[in-house]
Amino acid sequence: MALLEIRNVCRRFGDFTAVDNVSLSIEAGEFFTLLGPSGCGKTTLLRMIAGFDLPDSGQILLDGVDLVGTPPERRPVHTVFQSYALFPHMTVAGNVAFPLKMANTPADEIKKKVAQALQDVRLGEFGTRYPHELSGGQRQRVAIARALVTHPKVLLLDEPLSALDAKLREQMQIELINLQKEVGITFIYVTHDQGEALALSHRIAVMSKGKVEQLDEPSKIYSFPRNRFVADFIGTCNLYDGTVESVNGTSMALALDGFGTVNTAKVDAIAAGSKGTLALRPEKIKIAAADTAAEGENTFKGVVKELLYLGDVTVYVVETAGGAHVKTLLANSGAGRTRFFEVGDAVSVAWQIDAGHFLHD
Amino acid sequence: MTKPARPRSLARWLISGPPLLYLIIFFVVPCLIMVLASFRSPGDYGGLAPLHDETGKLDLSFDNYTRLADDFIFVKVFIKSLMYALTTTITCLVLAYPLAMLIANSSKKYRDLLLLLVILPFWSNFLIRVYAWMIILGPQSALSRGLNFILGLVGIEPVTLLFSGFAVIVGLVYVHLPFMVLPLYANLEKHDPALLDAAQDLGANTWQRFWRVTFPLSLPGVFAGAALVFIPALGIFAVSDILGGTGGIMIGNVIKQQLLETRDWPFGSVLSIILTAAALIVAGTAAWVARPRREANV
Repeated sequence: MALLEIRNVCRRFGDFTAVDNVSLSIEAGEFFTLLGPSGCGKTTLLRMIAGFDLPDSGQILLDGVDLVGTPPERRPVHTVFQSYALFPHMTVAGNVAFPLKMANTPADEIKKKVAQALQDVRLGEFGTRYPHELSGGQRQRVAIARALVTHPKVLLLDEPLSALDAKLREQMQIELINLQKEVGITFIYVTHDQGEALALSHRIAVMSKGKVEQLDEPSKIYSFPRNRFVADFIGTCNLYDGTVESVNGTSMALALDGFGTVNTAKVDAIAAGSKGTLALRPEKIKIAAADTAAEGENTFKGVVKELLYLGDVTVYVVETAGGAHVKTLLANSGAGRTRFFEVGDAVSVAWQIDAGHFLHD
Repeated sequence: MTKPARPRSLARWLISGPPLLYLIIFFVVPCLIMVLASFRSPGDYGGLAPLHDETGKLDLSFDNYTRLADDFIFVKVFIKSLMYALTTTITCLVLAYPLAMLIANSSKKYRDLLLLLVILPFWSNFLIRVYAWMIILGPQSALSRGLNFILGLVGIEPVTLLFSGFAVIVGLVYVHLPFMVLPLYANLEKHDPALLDAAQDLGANTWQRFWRVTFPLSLPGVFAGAALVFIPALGIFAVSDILGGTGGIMIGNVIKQQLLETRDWPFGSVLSIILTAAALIVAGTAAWVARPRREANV
């Protein structure tokens, strides 16, 4: 049985439905992420797990026991808040000792556990400092140590890295992965940053407008988005509406505006005449000079309309003869030159049959 | 070579100069005059005796200070005033804290209204408000009669509320309560609600959240409010004059009496100096304890 079971949970604020009939089961030891844009209900769901908010209907079960009647202070669930919420009048050690004191832990045991928790987050020397004497990353680690010191069954993390700069965030991501592996506690992580979700999680629930749009491993979410919203929200994606012309064996032919006929891998339960969207990741599309046709089953000629030079790669937007825009990227690997193409260059773009993913309407 | 004056420091002097000058003329200089007066002799018809006596010798002595030490009655009034001020401060704190929390936690709409209600009494005259207490506590008031009726039922002698230490403290608390509420509110209003969420999340119940988080974080407000209540309550004479009767006099009444009625200026000065010193010690301690050490929100 799953450690945390969320069953048909709904939460409404007036006319607004923040969480709309969500069901999830989260396993012990899992690094689970709730991902979605702001207002998708992920934080409301987190607050209901912590106990700061109650579902209007549905159940939240921890180890098979409904949490509804249990106030936040008695749930074996701790939260790392977005603002860290460290107690400014207590030292780092005082902050970490707080939950132990609340649990009436004997003083000598508190001392030992605090030292261990600070060691775990590499802050062994910082016990006597006050929060305002620490950097953002150090405060973050104190917040994590404080939430983990009593070994809760579940650790909730509410956008914990959003206040850090990009370099530090990447470093903290690696630390979080290692820490979670070490302590083996279930992490439920809330973020709007899809990159962070893909990097950290065992499984991701992509949320939109209070509903779970897709629940899967990061690679599945990225490669096989279930619908337009997921495809668009996770990474960059070319999305083309079209109709299935014919289905033959493992592939099918699509009629796409601006391209004509495009062959793509067959999806289950599809028939000629079905409408849908072809999702194509930019990195799966090859780009070559017009005279050296790019390799791939679907090849189209076009002109570079826009480009975005990012240093390691350049993103090219190619307009096909039919007027469709194809976003593609190419590593700037040519020695002695910054990039391969300029705006106005005639190019060809191509992709394999299995490069795209057809989203049935 | 002379350096040109930095315009910023000139502006600073222009801004801080007038208030500084004002304080020197109307606070520092009078204080020095008072210190000097405390060593002089009283005049035959009040005021001060000439600085030089008939033989031309400077007439300065510690006589007035030794008189304070000899006459235990003044020390007793001093101690009583300290106790009144302390009781007033603690009562104000106990009454003001829940009120300040209520205001700080209420929605923006009601917050301004509640704050207005706290400062509303300032709009009417201080003496009128204290006289009103004379009626409320008087022997014919509903309060006195109701209380004595209940006491009579359980066989206790009737009590007089007015003209007692109790009446003085009631008046002092009433007059000073807003000075405790406002600094407490200003402090509590800045607290980050996430800290209470965090405390609750980490296992603290309502009581623990208050004693471990809210109260320690509000200490600067507590000390600011305590200083604003204790210092004026210590030196006040109007409230004890009106509500205290003969038994409820405070050091402020004695000083007023010495300077205006007995016209013993040197001894009045001695008492004033002791009062000012006590106030400075309390204010200094409060400022030191409440000194800003940490950021409000981390």
